[in-house]
Amino acid sequence: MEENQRREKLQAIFQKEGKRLYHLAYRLSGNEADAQDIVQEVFMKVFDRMERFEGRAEIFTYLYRIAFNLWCNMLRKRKKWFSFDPGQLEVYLSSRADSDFPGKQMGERQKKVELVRSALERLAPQERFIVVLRDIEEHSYHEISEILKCRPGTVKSRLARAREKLRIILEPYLGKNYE
Amino acid sequence: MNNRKECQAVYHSGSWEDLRQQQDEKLRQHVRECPFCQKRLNQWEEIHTWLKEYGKVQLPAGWEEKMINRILSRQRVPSFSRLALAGTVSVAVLILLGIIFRLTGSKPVTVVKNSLPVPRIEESEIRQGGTKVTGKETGGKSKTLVEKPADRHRLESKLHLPQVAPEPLSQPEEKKDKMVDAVILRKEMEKSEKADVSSLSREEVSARAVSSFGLAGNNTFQARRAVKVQAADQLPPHLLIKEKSQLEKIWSAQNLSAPLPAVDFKRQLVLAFPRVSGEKRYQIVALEEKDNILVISYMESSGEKDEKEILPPYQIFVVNQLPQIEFQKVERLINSSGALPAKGKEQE
Repeated sequence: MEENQRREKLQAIFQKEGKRLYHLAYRLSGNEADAQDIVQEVFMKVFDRMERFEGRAEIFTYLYRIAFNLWCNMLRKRKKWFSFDPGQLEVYLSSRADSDFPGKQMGERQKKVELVRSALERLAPQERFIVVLRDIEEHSYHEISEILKCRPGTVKSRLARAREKLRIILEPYLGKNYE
Repeated sequence: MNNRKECQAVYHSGSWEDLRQQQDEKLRQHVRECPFCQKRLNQWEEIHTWLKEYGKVQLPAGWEEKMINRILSRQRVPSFSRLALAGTVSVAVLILLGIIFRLTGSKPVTVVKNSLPVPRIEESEIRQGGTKVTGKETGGKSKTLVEKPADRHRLESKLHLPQVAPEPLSQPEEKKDKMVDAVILRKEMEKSEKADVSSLSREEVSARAVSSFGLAGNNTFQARRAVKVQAADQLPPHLLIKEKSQLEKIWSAQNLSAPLPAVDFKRQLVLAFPRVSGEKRYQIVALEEKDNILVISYMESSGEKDEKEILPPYQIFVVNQLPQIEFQKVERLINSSGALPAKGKEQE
């Protein structure tokens, strides 16, 4: 495949999947810079291995898997790994409020978002990935199982475990009026 | 109403959305009536809305264009980790090559020239047979002077002297020449002769090997167990000096404080016999004249290096010029009469 053809093909894939991939990367990493890095790396890998994408109907499963692996590597390098400790959420929230919103009161919506972000960070990477895919992006169990290369039943059980963890972490904040 | 089976089903369904897909009317009825399951489902419902809120992502302005340009221009900046990895791999390869060279004994190709330094000792003081050298270089301390084969070859090439059985210029490290002297010789002799020579002093041992200016007449001792006449290529690289200028050069290279011996080159010549060649040590033990043949007997040993002993590289003898010269290697030193040979002087 010639260079121009490769570029055209890459642009086509990016037009179709770039936005979706960026959303996924942002929901996994929780910040813009990491999300952009992940997307860039994913498409560079796609550019290097363009021949593999010939004739593939659903390319997003492949892209999602690459993005997930890249994000896992990123976490491993940074050792950004929280333990499952629901008690620290308040401390985290107050520290985020001070650093990200200096001199301003964090909005109610923003509080919810930060709570979810910090709760997700306390899940294992694969659990977070499944929650994002199922509860936010609403992929089917079958699609998730294809991305993770496991059975749908495994996806269901992992999702149930992840949801229960989320519920335990967020339980103290549920039922309160943040509006 | 608390039905355990239905509660578990609700628990595993995970969310209201999943539960809605359940077609089991009995389960729906349970959820409507069980406060525990109702509370749980309400919590999940709230978490679900929070997650949806979290999932709303606003793309930065001009993001797509910027990103596609970044990807297409492939502005992949080498990260520090990549550079560090490349550096580590390079260093590892160099270390590995070094280990391989060391293990295989390979060395970088070098051209051996005749410019290797001859061991020099300034204002040295050498006692005959003795051996300890003091001088400016050593700061008054004993210093080992190890003769190297390359040094000798340099000397020979400089003097344009005839070489007999020259050694290869490059030799392995372990085959470097070693010093030989009368002490080592005596040790060798003691091994073979035991009590026969053990009582001899160093000078006496040296004297056995001596031939003086006139060899005729009372001529030292016989070497009874001569092995055979050595072929030229089996001999150590000795020199037969027939000119005074050559003698002066080699004499100066010997670094001896003694004056140059007077030699009548019309009738005499000077034999310079190496003390060490390769791993072997040599000692002239007898010089005899037999029917116009000069028979030079020498002992060969492979003693260990004695770094305390320092001797000039050559044993030098002044002998009469005879039509034929033969070398013979001997193993034992026994006088024909059983007595010690007459004393002479080895030329310094």
